[in-house]
Amino acid sequence: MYFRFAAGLMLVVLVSMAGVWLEKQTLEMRRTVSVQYYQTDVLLDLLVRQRLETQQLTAPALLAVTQEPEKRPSKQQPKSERSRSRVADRSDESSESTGRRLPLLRFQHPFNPEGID
Amino acid sequence: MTEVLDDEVVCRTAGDVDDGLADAPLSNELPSAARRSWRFGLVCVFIFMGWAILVTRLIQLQGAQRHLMNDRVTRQSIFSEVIPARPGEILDRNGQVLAMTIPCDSLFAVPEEIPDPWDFAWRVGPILNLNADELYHRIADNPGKRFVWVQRRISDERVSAIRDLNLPKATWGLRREYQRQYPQGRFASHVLGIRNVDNVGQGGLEQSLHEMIRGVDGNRVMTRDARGIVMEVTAERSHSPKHGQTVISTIDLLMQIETERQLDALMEEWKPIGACAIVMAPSTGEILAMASRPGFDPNDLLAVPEAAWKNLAVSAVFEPGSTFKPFIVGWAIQNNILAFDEMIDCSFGLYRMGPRVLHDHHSYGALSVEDVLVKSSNIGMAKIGERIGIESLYEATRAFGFGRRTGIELPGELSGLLRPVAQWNVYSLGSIPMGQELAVTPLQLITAHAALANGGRLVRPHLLKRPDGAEQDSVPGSQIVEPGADVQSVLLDSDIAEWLVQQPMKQVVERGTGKSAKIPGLPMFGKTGTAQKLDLLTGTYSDKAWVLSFVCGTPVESPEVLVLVMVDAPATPGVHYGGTVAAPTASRILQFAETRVRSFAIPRFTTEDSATSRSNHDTR
Repeated sequence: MYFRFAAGLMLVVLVSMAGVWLEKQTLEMRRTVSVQYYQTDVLLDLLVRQRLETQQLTAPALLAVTQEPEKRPSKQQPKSERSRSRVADRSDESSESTGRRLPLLRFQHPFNPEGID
Repeated sequence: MTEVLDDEVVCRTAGDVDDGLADAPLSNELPSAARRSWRFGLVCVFIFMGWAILVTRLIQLQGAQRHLMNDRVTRQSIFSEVIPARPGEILDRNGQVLAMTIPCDSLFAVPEEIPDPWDFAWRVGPILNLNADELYHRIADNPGKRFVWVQRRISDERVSAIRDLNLPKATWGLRREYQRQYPQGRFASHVLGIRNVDNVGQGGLEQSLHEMIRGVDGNRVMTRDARGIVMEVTAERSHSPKHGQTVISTIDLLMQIETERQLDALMEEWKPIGACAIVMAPSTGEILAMASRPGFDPNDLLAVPEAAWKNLAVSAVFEPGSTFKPFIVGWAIQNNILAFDEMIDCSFGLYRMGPRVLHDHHSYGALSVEDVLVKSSNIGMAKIGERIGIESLYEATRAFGFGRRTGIELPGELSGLLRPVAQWNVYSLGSIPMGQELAVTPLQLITAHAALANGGRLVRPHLLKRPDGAEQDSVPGSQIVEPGADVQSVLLDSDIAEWLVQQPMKQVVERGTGKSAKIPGLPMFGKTGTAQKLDLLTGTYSDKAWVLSFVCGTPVESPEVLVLVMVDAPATPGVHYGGTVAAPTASRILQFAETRVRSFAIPRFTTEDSATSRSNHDTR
């Protein structure tokens, strides 16, 4: 009788443990999915920022100014220089971040490499 | 318990006897036992009552107040936050970004949690370039609030600086928002409009397509524990945001830049109150460039003059003057009131029309219909107007789209001013054919001219390019806005429209009032317009203020591009005619557009198209 009781108890404990393990797995998977969504958002933001930089760098008006310095020297030159220097700063940052491998689950925040938040 | 107690009493009584205490009175013991029994009973009653109260309370909480408690628990443990949708991009026809959105952070404070507002303001203010005193008052005046904006849309550098302050976490927070950026700067600002701090489109495509560009916000439902730490995101109750759609405009950025540069040069040379230019593909109604002056930079809205918000291309009305004449001639020929080769007596520059005396700039005798347009004879046009009659004249004006909005995807478009035909009189017969007594917008004018250049077919001007499948989503997940259908109607036979373009309007540039627009090697047609402005003080036409316009197109045989330049009251002394002020600028824009338009896949108008359209129109 004691053996049956112990076996039944063990069965209950095992089932419970299996349930806990499954619950943990589910939670872990959910967490992973959340992190992946977050990574997608961050990468999308990075894409947008780089797209903006690209567009600013290749703006036809800016290119026209750089190709015709003698025609429009005074007013627009400082602005272009300013934007170029700003872009240069960012480009260092972005090359650093793009040089880094970003496996999905070993994600490092492009702007905050120490942690996700 | 009672049995045990009785045993105790019995034992104690026996012990007492054994211990020689038999002589102690038994009556003293009995009241003590009764007291103990009474106390025990009291304790039991209290315990029972305690349990009863607990059970009752439990039943009350779990039964009667179940919904209330459930709601309270839900409120405390489950909360949701809005995930803002990213507004869509606006691109030019070649994929260059005209407007886009980047994420950024906005800083808020929690005044209720800030013990020392002055310290908070003193530390945060300098980083954000805010007046610390003003920030202090904003926090101190709302001590019970849990949310006060400190500054919205702050840069990453400032966010880092704020983080480095290590302020108590409960006193502040960052909220993610989106900021609109216009990478091309001030170019096409009137076409694009702006998005304000609350992400609401104002002016231009930003306003007219706001619902599509804005997208739909999502929300994230989360569960937190008693300490407020998020345990999990409830996916089944959360909704992803639906990001805004991408708008592909018909604008060509290079053409837009060149148009605006030419307009700036015109503004500098003639110093008018305002000016605008439109470049259009007549066969499709696509607006390739649209500029208005004074202008503004949508990235810097702090110093925008009031007049700069107005897009003169759609919201300025002016009397078109001579640019209106070809429509009346075309309509008269279409209705067999006038013949191509007819001669019109222009009365040597002086013609009495009822009580009114009309003059021409030069004295002309008999002029051919072509020369009436080339030399822009007012008397010749008045005589044609007399033949047409009031009713038909009104019909012609309406048919070419005047007096109603074109339907372009821009807010604030005016319908112009076309009085009801009942208010027309004998003056109207002379005034309307020469482009007076009605007011039009520049867009209406170029749209009507596009009908002439397009074999007599009137097309709706539009700024949305139909995606041809070659475009790719600019940002993953975004969709592309589809334009509406082009409304088309056939106004003139193609041979009449072609004759107008290839004969009189070509000759206007060759030997007429638009000679200054002529560019060697560039066959073009055009029409000048010089209209007096109304003097609001006297209620009569002013002799000093003029609205000058010039519309031109190329190539002559099958026009691919049209340009209109309108100049409002130039101030620089000089000869103020459409041919002298507006025409040179328009022709330079046209020259650039002519080379540029070759790279587009704009369908050309052909005679067969017109014949097909005409037959369709007739069957309807």
